[in-house]
Amino acid sequence: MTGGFRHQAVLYGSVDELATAVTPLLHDTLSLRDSTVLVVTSSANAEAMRGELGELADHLEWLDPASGNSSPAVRFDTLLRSLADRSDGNRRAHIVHEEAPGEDYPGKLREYLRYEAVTNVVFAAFRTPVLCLWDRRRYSQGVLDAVRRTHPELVQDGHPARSPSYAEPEHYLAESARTLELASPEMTEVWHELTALTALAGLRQSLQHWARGWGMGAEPSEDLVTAAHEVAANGLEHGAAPVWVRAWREREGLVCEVGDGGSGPIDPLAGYRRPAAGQARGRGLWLARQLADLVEVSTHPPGTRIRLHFAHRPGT
Amino acid sequence: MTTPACWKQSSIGSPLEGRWKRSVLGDDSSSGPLGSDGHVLLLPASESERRARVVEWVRRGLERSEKVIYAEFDAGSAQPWLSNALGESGVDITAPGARGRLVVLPPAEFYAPGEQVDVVERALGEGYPAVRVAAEVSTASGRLAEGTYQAYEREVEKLCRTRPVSALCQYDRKATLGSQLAEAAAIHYDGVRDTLLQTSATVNGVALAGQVDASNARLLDAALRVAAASCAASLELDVAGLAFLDAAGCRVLLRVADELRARRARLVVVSPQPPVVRTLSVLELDRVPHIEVRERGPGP
Repeated sequence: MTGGFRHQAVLYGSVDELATAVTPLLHDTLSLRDSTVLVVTSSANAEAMRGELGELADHLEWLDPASGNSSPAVRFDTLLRSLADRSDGNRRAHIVHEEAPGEDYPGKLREYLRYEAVTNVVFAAFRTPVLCLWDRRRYSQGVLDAVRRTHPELVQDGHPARSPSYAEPEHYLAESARTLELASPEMTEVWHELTALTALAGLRQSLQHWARGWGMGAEPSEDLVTAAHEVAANGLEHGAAPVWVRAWREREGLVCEVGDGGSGPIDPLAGYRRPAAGQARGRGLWLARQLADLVEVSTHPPGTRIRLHFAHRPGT
Repeated sequence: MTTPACWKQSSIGSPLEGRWKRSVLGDDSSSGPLGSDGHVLLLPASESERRARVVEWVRRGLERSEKVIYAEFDAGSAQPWLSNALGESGVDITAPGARGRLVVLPPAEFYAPGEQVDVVERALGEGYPAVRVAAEVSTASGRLAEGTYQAYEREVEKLCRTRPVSALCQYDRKATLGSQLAEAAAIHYDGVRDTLLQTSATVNGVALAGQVDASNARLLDAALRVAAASCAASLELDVAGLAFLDAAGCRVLLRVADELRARRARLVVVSPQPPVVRTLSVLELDRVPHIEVRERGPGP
């Protein structure tokens, strides 16, 4: 395998199948000078892969998956940083990773798949191959279809082939937003309608009281406030006022949702890419994505809505 | 604080000193962590906020035994609301000894060229240690022509620099935009006061208190532009009093840092509170080469 960005998926049905698919690719990479292979996967899979790869396994760098509590956004950024730390003019890293949540977390899984689409944009800059491992036994057909749509190449028997159903990332993300139907909460505990930026301070204050009132710690409450603030500010600056914000409690934590009267197209990649140093705008949604545990964007009628989920983290 | 020593004169044994002492000790936080002195720009979001800030300013002057001058275009109606508001906050300006301390002047006697110097000199001549002015300067009403308000601001700025004078200049927030905002922020060297944010000049830069968000980021930008243009090797931004900073505020800091870098200077963000540290770190401002984030620690 030569240098350059490739984003491949292996949909394996057994550990044997995984090893058959992955081993030749890793041989290729390790035969190149100054190459590292970063493997991020569950400890169980790491163990199995070690066994299958034999001595080769000693040449791989095994990273622990990002902490189970972290959001898809933070996991993605952590991987990107690990890569950036190991890539420069001469060195190159090959990423092999498997961190997708299970279907028992449908929101996070959908977000993870959106990040698979974003990988095609963001990781391309590193000219690095990214190999994603997906266990066919764990996922339904719909999820596996989404894997095929977000990876330009699929690896079978150690041979990469073009994925026939691959969709451009912008297209995939826009479609994801268009088709995402968000169920309304039974009861809303905070409701704000904002028409001017000067109203944001009041929103922050009321969300702060609300989150603290539910026993959220100081720092997680501040994260919630900042994230909701940024999305609302973005709506006021780029959307169609009035912008509304509502918040409620769910079993796992607190939810804030921001919407506006607009239903026009939004940049599907907004907030997914770490802002460049000299970039004038686009920091607010990035910040919100990093602070929330999960972000869902829906452009499904009646209008644009951005829903932010926060796990309940009590104060210490 | 950079308040020149001459402004800190202890009050000359006034009969009212004891009366206000309690409120000075018990309520000093109301004046904010920043010194209220100097030439300050007030951009209130509403009339009630304007009045509250004026009362706070006037009251602080009275507590310091200063001569306080209040100028409003509609001077006839100013007297009653100000007296009432002061009364509600426990300050009786009709009490013996308080008379003459607070003067409400009609426009003709304060805004005309040369009048400000006369008024200030007269007050100092009466033996007051300092003079405190609160004046409505907004051009929104059209009652101060552009040339007049600029001349007025220059005169007041000169007085604040050379005499023991503090001035709170009130502008209409909605009408003060763009170049006028930049101009107003530039001339009010000692700070600006927005609904959420207070800035004040320090020895090495600017101190911020309150919150910076998309609603006042432009104001911060205007205030920092002046400080960045005149600082030496680094501009110190003391944010110990800042409870919130959003992405719009970070954008301003990045712009200021770029401006400083062009002059081979850098931006030092001093003593950020945890929420501000968090935002600076997620947005990686702490990794920008010409920005230094100096967290609270043992001072020099």
